[in-house]
Amino acid sequence: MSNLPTNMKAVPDMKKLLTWTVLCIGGLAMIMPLIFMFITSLKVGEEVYTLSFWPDEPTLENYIYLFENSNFLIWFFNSFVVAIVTTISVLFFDSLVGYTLCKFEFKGKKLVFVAILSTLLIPTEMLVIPWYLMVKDFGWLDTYWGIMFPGMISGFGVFLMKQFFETVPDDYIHAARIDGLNEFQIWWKVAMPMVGPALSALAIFTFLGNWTAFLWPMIVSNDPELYTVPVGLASFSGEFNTDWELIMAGASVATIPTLIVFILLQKYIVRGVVMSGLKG
Amino acid sequence: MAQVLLKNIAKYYNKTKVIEELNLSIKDQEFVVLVGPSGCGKSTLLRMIAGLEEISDGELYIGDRLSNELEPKDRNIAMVFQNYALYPHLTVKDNISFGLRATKMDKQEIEKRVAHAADILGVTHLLDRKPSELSGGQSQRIAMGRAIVRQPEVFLFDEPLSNLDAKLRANMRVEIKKLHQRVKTTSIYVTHDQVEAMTLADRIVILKGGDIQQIGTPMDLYHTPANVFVATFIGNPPMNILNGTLTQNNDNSDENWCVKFSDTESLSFSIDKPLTTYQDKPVKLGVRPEDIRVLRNNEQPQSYERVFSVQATVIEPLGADTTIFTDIAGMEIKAITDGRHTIHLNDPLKIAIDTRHLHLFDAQTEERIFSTQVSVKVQN
Ligand SMILES: Nc1ncnc2c1ncn2[C@@H]1O[C@H](COP(=O)(O)OP(=O)(O)OP(=O)(O)O)[C@@H](O)[C@H]1O
Ligand SMILES: [Mg+2]
Repeated sequence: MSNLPTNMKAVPDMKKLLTWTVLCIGGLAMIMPLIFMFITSLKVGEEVYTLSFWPDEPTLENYIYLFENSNFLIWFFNSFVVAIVTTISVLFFDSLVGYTLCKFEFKGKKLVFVAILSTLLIPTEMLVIPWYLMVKDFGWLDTYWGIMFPGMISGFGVFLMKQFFETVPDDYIHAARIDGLNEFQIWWKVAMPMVGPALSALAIFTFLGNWTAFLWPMIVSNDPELYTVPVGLASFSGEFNTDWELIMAGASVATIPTLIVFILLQKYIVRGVVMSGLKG
Repeated sequence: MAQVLLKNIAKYYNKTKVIEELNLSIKDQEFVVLVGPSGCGKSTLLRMIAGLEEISDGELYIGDRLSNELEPKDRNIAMVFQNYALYPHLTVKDNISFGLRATKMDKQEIEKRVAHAADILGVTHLLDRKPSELSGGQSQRIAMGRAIVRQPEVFLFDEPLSNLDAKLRANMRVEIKKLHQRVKTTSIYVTHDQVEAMTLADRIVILKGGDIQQIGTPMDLYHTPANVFVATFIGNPPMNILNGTLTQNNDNSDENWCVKFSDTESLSFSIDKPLTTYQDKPVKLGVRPEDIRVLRNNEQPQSYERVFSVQATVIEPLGADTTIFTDIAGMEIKAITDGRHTIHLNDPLKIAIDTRHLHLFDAQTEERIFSTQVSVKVQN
């Protein structure tokens, strides 16, 4: 009799075990490159190319070099400015445009929406050349604006926000109109607070996307003082040799803001991904 | 406070007409209920009065002002919504005062008004909560509070009670009535619940497909419905409608008219109005369930009652009374009987129709021809 309960428990335990095993393997597979990155950043010289798990003489030399002898701090600052400004801009404009497309009727609305959606179909690689020509003509080469301008509004964000504003019942907007708010105030004071989770999700995606952006920042900036972190790190990779240990050290530091964002906004990321039905 | 006047109001969405040529005059301090089936344009009409929906044609006067082009905030109205529309990120207090703060009103005056409204509605202890921490009934009160503090000339309600359970709805109905008796603000109230309409309204406006079917006091609509639609809309269970042919009785009895349902079944009654234009024409006869009685064993009918032998097909006991479903000449009818009167399914029954309260409708137009109620001969 006494072993009956344990028998009954055995089935869910097996299920749990299986789930945990799969999750652990998945988690390990994900985190391995990060661990490898960090360990490599502690190595110097020939050891970089060995597969040893822990360096014989772990050292912070690479970090010291990075901060003292390279422009890394400037790149970090540049990345930060670019990511923050584009995120704020995307939040503001995408939610404003999304709200307008969602809650107002006007001629040509469908056309505008389809036009915005169609920008999602064009890969960045195809846009790079026209962007570059624009930037050159306008004299925006080697400026923050040149790096940031393609990301100031995102078609994806407009679409996301439009969908989320659908969840705000019209009655709230009607109530606010009777309360005497103007349309801008209704958007800002009534509708925006009601799509908070969507805004957080969009903020995270935009920040991370811009923090890690490589192709366009590399093309548009020639001046090392204007490199972002990914571009700067890439510059350690020369024609004849690549300073992997420096790249890894820089990448390790660059991961920190990402980690902070993830830890702080974890629940919003999960909710945002679930709500918007996309993969992070 | 103000009167509201709608002159030839129309509403089109692109080409589809939702409301056409609607005329309605609402007196100062009056409580008017707009009632009708889903999709008949009640909310549309209310939103046009509020200024949330453009008026396609016609003139709207609130007070003495032509208000077609006024912004919602300038119309001196307040509206209570079905889902309450309480801002989730604001406290109850901030929700109630939201509109006043938007107008940059003096802080002390705002405090005073909020306190007063909270007092009237008994929600003072809820002021610091968030809407998510309120029950349905409490949210409803806060939504009303938000309307009250504006001290508007007109209250607009769009199905304010339909999200509440039956008991709470009955309570809030009384609260709204009390509130109106207290502040006496002109009110326009939309519902599709005829009980709410009957109990709250000074006058009811019955809409169907964007057209007004009848305007009148609850008792007007109940006793002299303008057509079959109104007759079956007001009253629960709804009025029985029996198809038949109107014939004149030749014998010299008091019952000079008769509706024949079939070769064997007919109902004779007396009225002093000439109905010759409808003689031998199809008509619809309306009888309210409460005007049909189930006779107890050996009970004799009154002189004004006509007896039919039937069988109960469905019995709905409601406690105080019981609804009996049966049929006359194949047409279903409902009768209400005393709840203490035990009746079994398929028992042979005698039901007595009170001929003092009959309604006769044109079979084609469904317009009312006559109600016996007003002019029946006193026969006792
Ligand atoms: N934006 C719109 N475009 C086109 N037709 C509309 C629009 N809004 C409402 N209608 C139509 O107008 C009619 C009246 O709608 P309304 O919302 O006023 O009905 P209602 O009487 O309030 O119904 P309910 O009891 O379901 O709330 C409906 O037939 C509806 O389909
Ligand atoms: Mg409605």
